[in-house]
Amino acid sequence: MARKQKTIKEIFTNGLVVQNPVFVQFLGICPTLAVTKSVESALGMGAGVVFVLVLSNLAISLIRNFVPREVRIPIYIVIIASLVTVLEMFMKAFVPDLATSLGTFLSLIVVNCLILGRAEAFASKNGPLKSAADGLGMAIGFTGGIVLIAFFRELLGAGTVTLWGDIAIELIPADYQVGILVQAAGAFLVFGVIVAQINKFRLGRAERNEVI
Amino acid sequence: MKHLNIIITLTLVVLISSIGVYFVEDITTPIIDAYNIRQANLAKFEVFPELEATDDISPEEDYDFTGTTITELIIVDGKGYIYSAEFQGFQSIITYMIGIDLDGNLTGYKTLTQGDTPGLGAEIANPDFYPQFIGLSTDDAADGNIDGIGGSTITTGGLIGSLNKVIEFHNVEFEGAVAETPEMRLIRLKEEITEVGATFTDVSSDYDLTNTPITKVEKANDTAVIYTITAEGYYPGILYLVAFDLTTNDIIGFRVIEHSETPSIGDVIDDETFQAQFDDLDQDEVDSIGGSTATVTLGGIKTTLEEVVIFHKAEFQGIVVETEDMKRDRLWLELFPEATEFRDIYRDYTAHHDIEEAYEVYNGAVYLGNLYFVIADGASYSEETYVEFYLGIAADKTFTGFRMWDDNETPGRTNDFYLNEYGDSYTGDNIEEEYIIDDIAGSTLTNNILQGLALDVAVYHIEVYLGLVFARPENKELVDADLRLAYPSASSFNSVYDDYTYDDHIYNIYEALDGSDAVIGYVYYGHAEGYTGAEIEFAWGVDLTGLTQKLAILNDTESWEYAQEWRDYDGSQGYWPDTPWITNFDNVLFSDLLSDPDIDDVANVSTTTENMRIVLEGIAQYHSDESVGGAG
Amino acid sequence: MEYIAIAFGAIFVNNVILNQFYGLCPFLGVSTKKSSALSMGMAVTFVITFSTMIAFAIYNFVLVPYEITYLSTIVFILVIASFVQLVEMFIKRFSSSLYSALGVYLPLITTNCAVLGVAIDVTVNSQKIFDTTTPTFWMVTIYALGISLGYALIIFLFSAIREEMDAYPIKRNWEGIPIALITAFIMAMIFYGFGGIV
Repeated sequence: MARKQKTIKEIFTNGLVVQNPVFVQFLGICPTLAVTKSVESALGMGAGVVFVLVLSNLAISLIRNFVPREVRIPIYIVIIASLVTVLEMFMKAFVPDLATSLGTFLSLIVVNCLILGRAEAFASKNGPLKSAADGLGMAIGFTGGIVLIAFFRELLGAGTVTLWGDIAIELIPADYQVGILVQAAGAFLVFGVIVAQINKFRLGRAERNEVI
Repeated sequence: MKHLNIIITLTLVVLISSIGVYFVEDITTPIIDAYNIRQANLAKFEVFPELEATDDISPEEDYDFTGTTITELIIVDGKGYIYSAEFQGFQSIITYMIGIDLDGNLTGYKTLTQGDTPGLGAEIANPDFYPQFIGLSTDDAADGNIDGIGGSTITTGGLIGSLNKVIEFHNVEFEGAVAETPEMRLIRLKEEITEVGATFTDVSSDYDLTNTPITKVEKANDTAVIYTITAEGYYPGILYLVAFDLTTNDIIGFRVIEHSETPSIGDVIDDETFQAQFDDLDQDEVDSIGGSTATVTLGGIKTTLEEVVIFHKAEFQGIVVETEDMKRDRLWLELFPEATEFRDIYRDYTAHHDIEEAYEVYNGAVYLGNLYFVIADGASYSEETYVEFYLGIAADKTFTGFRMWDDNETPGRTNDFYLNEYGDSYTGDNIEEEYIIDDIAGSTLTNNILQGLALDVAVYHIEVYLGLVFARPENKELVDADLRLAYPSASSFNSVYDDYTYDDHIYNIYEALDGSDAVIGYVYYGHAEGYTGAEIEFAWGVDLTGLTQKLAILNDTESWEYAQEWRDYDGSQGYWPDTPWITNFDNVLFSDLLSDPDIDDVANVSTTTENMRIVLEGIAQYHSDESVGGAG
Repeated sequence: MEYIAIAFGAIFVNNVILNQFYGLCPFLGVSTKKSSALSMGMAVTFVITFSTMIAFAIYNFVLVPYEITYLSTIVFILVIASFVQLVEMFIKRFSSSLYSALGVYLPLITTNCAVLGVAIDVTVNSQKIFDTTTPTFWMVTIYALGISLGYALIIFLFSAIREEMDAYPIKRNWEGIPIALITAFIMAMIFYGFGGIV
């Protein structure tokens, strides 16, 4: 049976939910845990990944027919690294505080498995429009994932939800906060619990499907 | 072909990427650098909002900041100046930064570091403190026209003083102001405390300034007189000015010319608030000057100023005030009118705990007698008081008189002791016989204490100075049964009073002997005066270590029922303390009684209990002074 | 003494996995068996230590003098990729036993963010790590060695725990990644204990 071509919309939602890079594919776990101390830095990291992934997918898709197979990985890396460097410089120039709080993880977008993974798995085989849609879907799915983790960590750990700079909502008084959640260790716990709950939901649905 | 393709593709990708990165770098670098400069110099941007990252903010190196408190100066070309400076706060060095624009207005203030008291001096770093400086003219800032920090006069004063110096520097360097010379400053200070534009005439040569702290006397327009005075504070070398109005003779102003006192302690004398105390100050109220924790510095100012007041009164008001030295000389001559020499013999004889000074008095080669100065505990039972007096003893063993020097007994009760009438009532009394001395009404206790002290001095004079035996009354004897009340473990007693100096509160002293006639302690047979002349006799045992045995009341003629009950009180009457007061003196070390006489007198019978306490403490002192049985 | 503090801090206190979140993908992916975890740990130790030394040299002798430090990320990732490639070619040619033990993990290491992360930390972000913008070569080397030993230690310990855990029934939705994350949480809590030492 000939494979049905996916529409752009399907490609987009694929990354957003079905193949969510954070909760399903477990790609780019390092920033997932490292920048989820606050919703603000998770949003910033998400925006960075959107920028890099959309543009890298687009660029790689455009040159996919000219790239010799043997050196495709180094070429992808150079493109991704250049985009990350550009992103770094833009962020340091226009949102310096956010750049400081993301620290090394801004540079480490280069080695985020998600980026290179999509380049290799999708952009090198599909047209520019579809590749961009795939990049956008994956990146937004990634952003949604880390923002969700950051939301729980910051809310329960520090009692606040920081959207931008001083725009923070204070929700839980200091006595009821679980400080460990905003520490490094808390990242593992929150991420683990969320994944387990998502798995439970997915397993439940899979079982229902089997019954039918 | 294939390899060439690879190389070309790789090169192209790298090249295009690099060019892209290069352009972005070109755009963003200035912004990033500006941000970094701003981050590193946040304070400068805060105090000088017009500052831009492109401005040169390297510190100037060609200025001498000595004496200005300035630590750094940045000249922002075409915009203004940024100063960093520091001063001593209450507990810490405080550093701050101000900006000044080209119009001579402050553009901002920020405290950089401080370690003062939280809630007080530390409020200097509260951002709420800063906005008042924005737009403030340098003149206002130099004058200290700022809202200080409540409860932190030292910190605020330090800041104002420092601002003043910074702005003075600024005005001289950049506003064309002429630096104030010491001469100009002196004139300004004089004008500040008298009248602007006054003519100052030096009239020092008209006066004898020896033995005064005054170095210069000047008249200002004949309406005021300005004294230049040297004083010693915590460090030597305070030079200050004080002006007196010649009509009212009040002090009208005070300024310090120079000093080397400790910053923020002694140098409070520089503060406006301190100096304002001297505006229209009554010349007799120099003592009211305060507002400083620097007691030594303040003392130096007050002492010299009091001497200046005396000088001023004598020279400008015709009032001669007696100084302490003059008063001492007068009292001495009142006791020995023919004396020409008072020879200090104090260190030549065994000390007595109440006698502070002792002199042999001569007229030429003729010995006239001895003069003693006594400082002793006073009579008040509620607090420690003292009495100080001179007592003269003539060569023929009669008193030449008594002169009270000072006391702090109940105010008003002792005025009559200072009268010559009282002092002269001693005159002519043989020191070895009963004294006939006036009683001052209402001061029974002080009367008794002074009489007792006179007797002490007399005994000292005879036995220590002359080396004779005081003509003491016959020893009174006690039977062994009574003595055993005071020393239950002794089996026999042996009088030894004749081996020791006479004390009018002691009738007799016994050795307490055990079964083998070894000395195990002593028993004092003494007496004290109760209420309205009642006599209380007692025996009091003490062992060789100075630990008392029992205080036994043998006989008393107290007429007042409360006082009579004191020795057999069983707690049921209710107005005595639960522990009968008398047992305070049982089983206690003499040394503790002397070092910590923390025994309250008892209300309603305070006269009796206080007299008793004074006498018993006196015996403990005697025991130690006389080294009875080798006691220390 | 300073070097001991750096090494101890790098291995235990600032543990690269538990505290800094570098190199988590292989940590969760490879650490199911002790033997593979050990091989991975050794490969990582080798690559991190040497690539950090190279990156440090390039940064200080090329990037800083020519004022092109903004290219750090690009240069470092290329250096690391090339270095890993070279090592792989080298051991493939000279030691087939070593290649069979380590070789398969080497390509994975290129995208292990611990390698790039440490290289960037000791150069661009050295203030944060060493409290100085000019750390010495030895400080950097010891730090890199400590970090990679810490990595190897954790990944090995973790694989040992996971091997044991396989023997017990776990609710289906917690199997795999979730329970691994909870285990890492507990280990991270334990490693906080080292925080008070340095």
